[in-house]
Amino acid sequence: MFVAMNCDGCHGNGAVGWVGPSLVDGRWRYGGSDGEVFHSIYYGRPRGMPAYGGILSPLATWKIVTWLRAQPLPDNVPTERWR
Amino acid sequence: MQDRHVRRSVPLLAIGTLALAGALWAVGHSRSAQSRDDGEWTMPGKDYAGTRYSRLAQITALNARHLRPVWSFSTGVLGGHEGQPLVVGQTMYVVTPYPNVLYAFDLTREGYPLRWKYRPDVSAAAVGTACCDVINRGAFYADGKIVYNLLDGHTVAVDAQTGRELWKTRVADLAHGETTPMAPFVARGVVIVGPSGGEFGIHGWVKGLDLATGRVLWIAHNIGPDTMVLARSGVFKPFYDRGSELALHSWSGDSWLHGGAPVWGWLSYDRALDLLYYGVGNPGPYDAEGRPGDNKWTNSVLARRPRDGALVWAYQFTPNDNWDYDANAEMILVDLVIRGRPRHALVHFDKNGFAYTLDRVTGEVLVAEPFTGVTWARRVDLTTGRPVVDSTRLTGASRGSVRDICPSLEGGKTPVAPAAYSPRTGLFYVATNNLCMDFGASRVAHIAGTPYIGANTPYHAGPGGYMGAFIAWDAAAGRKVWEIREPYPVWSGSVATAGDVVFYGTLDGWFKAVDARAGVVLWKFKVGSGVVGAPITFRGPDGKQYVAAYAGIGGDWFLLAGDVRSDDPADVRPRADFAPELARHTSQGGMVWIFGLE
Repeated sequence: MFVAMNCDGCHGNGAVGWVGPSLVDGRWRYGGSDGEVFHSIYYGRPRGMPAYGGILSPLATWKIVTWLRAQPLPDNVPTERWR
Repeated sequence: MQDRHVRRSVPLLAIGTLALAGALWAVGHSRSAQSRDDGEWTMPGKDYAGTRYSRLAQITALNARHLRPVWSFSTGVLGGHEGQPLVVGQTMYVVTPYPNVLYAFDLTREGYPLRWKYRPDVSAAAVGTACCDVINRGAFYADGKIVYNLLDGHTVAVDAQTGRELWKTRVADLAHGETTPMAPFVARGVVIVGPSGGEFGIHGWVKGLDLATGRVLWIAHNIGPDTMVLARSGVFKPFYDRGSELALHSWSGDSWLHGGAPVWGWLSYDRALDLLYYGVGNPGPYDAEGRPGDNKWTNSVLARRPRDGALVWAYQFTPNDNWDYDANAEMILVDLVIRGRPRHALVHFDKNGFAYTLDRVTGEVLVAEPFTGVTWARRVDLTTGRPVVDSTRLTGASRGSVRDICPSLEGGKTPVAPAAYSPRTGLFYVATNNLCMDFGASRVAHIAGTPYIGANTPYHAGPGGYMGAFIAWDAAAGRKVWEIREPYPVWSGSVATAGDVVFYGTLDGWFKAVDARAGVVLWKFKVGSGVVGAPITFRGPDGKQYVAAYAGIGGDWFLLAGDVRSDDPADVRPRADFAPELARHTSQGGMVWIFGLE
């Protein structure tokens, strides 16, 4: 459904980030509770997130929330290193 | 200098000078058609032909190593700084990415303080509708006005002296996935604009606005029935095609209604022929199996009359696009001798990896040769004008992941990075990519205001392992003369000068001066962020030559470069698989730099 609703078109394959931010980095701009993530999808958010409530039922939206929450999170290591 | 002489001369002398001026005159270098003085830069491509060539010659191969930064300014905006500044008289104008601030710098005072800045009211909803970062490709100066587009679908005209907004016209519809980052073009008192949104299933167009009032005079679509495309019998004469309704019958059913065909690149104009030239972008969706047919006139060059938008000729570079080979790159107008005959040519470096030299009078293809690695087609057949496609490189939802297609989705050259031409060397200076991709298409639903794409396309470096090169190209012979390889795709525009020095910038943040004949780097400076804009050169009030460039990585590289958006704690991204080192060298930025000789 993430692909069918064109979510990957903005959030990237596997929701790692593209035009829109990563949804699988364990961090949330508008809040990471179930209800806050639902709100982001259903009602949209500033800075470009459209409101899917006109197309998706609440049940379908909760399915996406569940899928996002099920994605593996990176270890909480805030440092990126090269050589 | 030569042109000032022409303007004051009597008609007979003008005709003689006309013959001497040759190529430049043929593309309309009259007083109104070019920068009023060669020390200026009043339109994106420097002149109506789009050559990005300046006759300034103080900076040469001998002294370029003495270039140094003389000024810098933070635009206050993070995002891809595409496009280029303008210099009109003693003022430099800079348009930022969204929110599209217009700065006017006073070049007569130390430190170039602002004369004014214009802070347009622009909708934040545009941020989510722009596929590829919130870039802007610049402004156009005409008749005392600075004309440019806001990202949210408005074109504005601002008084160049006072900064007062003169008019603001809505030209595009955000709700249908249209945004407007392109630089407008002004010819014959008409402002021509077009939308982005090939990834959002738009029905692409160009519009002509009245320069004085901003009123929409005409709208011409790029796909659909002749009445919408403005293709009229007796006027429209494509070189390789016959019949009517070409842009309708080359689509199945009504798929053209959401067929894309955006106009997000550069325009040029031949005053003598009264023809405006521009490229059209990709058809949507990416899954080509859903839209059988050539899909005219996506991935094409169109020649229109600016006063009414009438279509005069069209040529399609990539029929039934399977690879997102938008044709929005610049159409540079030069006169060349090809196989012994002088021709009025149009030169275009397409995303599909072929460099085309066309006859700009008729649309005939004179030369078409690869300028980078190409696997999707073997060659272009000059008799039919059509590419000879390798059927093993066709994509589509039924084919799974197709491997090793070159060029990648980013193209052999990005249309974002316009090339330059030097009439002294006869060469084109071009930013190119050496990237290939695997392409997996899928079926996709059109939901207004959301992406209409349907493809997964991982990249890898092309043969040789380097990902870009800055090249010199002979468009008469169709061959590369020299190249400078870069670790990353080269995404900046170029500028060519009469000092035989050309300039470009890199994604890892270097701005470089190059010997135009030898292809040797003469000087470089680390400008603080990747360069995706086009440099310009101008004469300052002190009579000296300066070079200006933006730094600020973005555009597609905002999507691709990994974790360069350091200012958002809620968005931490993995490295780009194919370019894991890039974020070591650059994050987002927003700077204007000016360089001069010591």
